[in-house]
Amino acid sequence: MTQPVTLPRELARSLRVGQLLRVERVGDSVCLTPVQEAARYIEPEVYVGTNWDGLSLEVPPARIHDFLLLLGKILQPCTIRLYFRHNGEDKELGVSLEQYADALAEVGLAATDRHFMAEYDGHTLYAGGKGCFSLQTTLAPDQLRRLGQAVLDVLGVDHYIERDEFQVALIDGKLEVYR
Amino acid sequence: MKKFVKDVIGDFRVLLDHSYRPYDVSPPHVLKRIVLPMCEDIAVVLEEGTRNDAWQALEGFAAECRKAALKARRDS
Repeated sequence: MTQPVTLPRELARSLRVGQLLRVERVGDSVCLTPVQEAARYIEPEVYVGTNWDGLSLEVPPARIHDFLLLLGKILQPCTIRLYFRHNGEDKELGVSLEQYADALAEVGLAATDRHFMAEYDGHTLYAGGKGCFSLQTTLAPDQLRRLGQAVLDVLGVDHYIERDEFQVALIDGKLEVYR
Repeated sequence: MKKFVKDVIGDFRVLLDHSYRPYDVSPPHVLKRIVLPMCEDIAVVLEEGTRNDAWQALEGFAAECRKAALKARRDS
């Protein structure tokens, strides 16, 4: 049978839209048994969303350098501290905004590592590695929205953020706006 | 605050942060990006830190918990 079947209203009420059912024979009866759905785990190429005092981010590893440069440009800190690990050794650089690009060049691929951390005056960027970040800031909500917009722009995501609280992802090349 | 204390607080923040994501984060992502780094960083605090460092780490966790809980109440 390939045609859709319209269910009687009293039966439809006990079902949920999207629920999967398996047809089973039990004795002389034919039953519909709910099927456990597999969780749909997602690994977005890009994610930018507000959290309680900053942003939650997934940045493509190849774009981390651009993203970090952008943070310096938007946050305009007086001092920047970069923490990273090179060949198993912990390193720390304290630089001004003018020296920041050169310092990032020195950090290089270590910025994709989970040991990377950056402090921009009162703002801190924590890394989980491979572009997974949590940014703690003291920015006001509208400033944070502008920062989120700038991150989407630099990552080439075509979306305009209208709200102070937002969650946007790029999944398999498709834009998902959660709020 | 010592770097390794900041690290472990950062791990905890990243953990809470992912619980607010609007999609199902994959178990391998949670393991590689959060759980294993956190296990490693907690061990460093215990091996190299003082009691005060451990206390600061817990205070850092509590500060993030307070802020995250406030947001959860605001959102509900």
